[in-house]
Amino acid sequence: MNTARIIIAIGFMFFSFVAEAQQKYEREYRIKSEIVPQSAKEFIDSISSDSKIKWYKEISLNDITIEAKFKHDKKKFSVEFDTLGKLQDVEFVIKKREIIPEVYNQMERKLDSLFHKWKFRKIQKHYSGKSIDVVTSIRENEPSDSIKVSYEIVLKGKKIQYTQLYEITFNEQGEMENILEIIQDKADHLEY
Amino acid sequence: MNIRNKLLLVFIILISSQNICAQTQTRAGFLPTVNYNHELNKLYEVNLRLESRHFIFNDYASQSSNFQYDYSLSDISALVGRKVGLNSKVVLGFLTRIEPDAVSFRTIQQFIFQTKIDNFRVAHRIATDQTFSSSESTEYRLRYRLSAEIPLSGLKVDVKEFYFKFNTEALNSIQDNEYDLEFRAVPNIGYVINERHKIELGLDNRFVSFIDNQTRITSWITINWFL
Repeated sequence: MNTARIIIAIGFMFFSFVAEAQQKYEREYRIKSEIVPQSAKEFIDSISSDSKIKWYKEISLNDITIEAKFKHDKKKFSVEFDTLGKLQDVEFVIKKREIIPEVYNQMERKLDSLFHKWKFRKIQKHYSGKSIDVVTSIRENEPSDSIKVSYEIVLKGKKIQYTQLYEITFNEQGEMENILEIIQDKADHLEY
Repeated sequence: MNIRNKLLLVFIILISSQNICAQTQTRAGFLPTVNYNHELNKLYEVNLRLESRHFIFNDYASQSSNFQYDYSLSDISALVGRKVGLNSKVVLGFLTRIEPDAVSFRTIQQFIFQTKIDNFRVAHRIATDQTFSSSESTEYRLRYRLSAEIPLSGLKVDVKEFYFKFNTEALNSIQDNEYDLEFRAVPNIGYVINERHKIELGLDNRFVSFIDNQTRITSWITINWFL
């Protein structure tokens, strides 16, 4: 019995370590616009922003990117570039009613099959492709045929016992492409 | 606001709270805390805490010298938390207080929930506790604490980064049919050493006996280690 307990205890320690190892490592720093590649600044200038542009450097396990955050047309935008200033993608926050009804219904059916209960936290529309096509799509508020469109959704989903935050990617047709469980930052120093 | 301005703001808050302390009957000391948190599974977690109080200044009693080291007590607590929502949990636990000449026990019940406003996190704690000792009547307390964390660089607090944390708490207590009110204000500077360890340095100001017009202040220099 004692041996079994020790094995269980070691098991817990091991799994908690594995769980930590699976966490997405990401750090971001605010950076000054002077150190941002010119091509990235030119791209942002081509979209007229309603607010001050905030620049960040984001470091993940596989990648270092530069990100611009600003408001355009009353929407929150986030534009990601590589370190040389090449556009990676553009994402902006939208409301549920801005999704085409057929696409939304397709998403809804998938979410109903995955969760007992669910609620949107944030919906972002993603544009990726050639810079010129992406800019045109943003300006005209209508994606051109030559760019890839997807939806990144953060939602609160309840399965049998517990509620968790998820990040789910749907394609333009509303078919699920990817699902990630969001591991929330520890808050023991705020709670105890 | 850049990191220099944020640190300046924190420094001003710390200095102002020290000035308040200088005008009233005051006790001061050190309050080191070790706080161990372990997630058992997706629903349950355990929190073990060890805290001790050491006075270095006391002008409550008329003494020739107010500066004198005096060990006060140690608290050992064990809490079990159960997640009841995405950002909320119910916590139950037990605390043992060891003083040089007495031991008392406390049962604890808490409801904690978190919210996020832009880039800072806020935790609310509503708690009740009951303290039992052989020499005094049972003390019942109802308390509310608000804790806010503000990253000092970037959008969220990451490893090897500093943060500012501010706790404020109101405590209502009843003992022997006597009601009392206490306020606490605790500014902290924290640093995330790695994924597991955080260290905080702060000033825990406790304004005791608020309603009977004989307010006394106890200020603790706190050193918290979270692991």
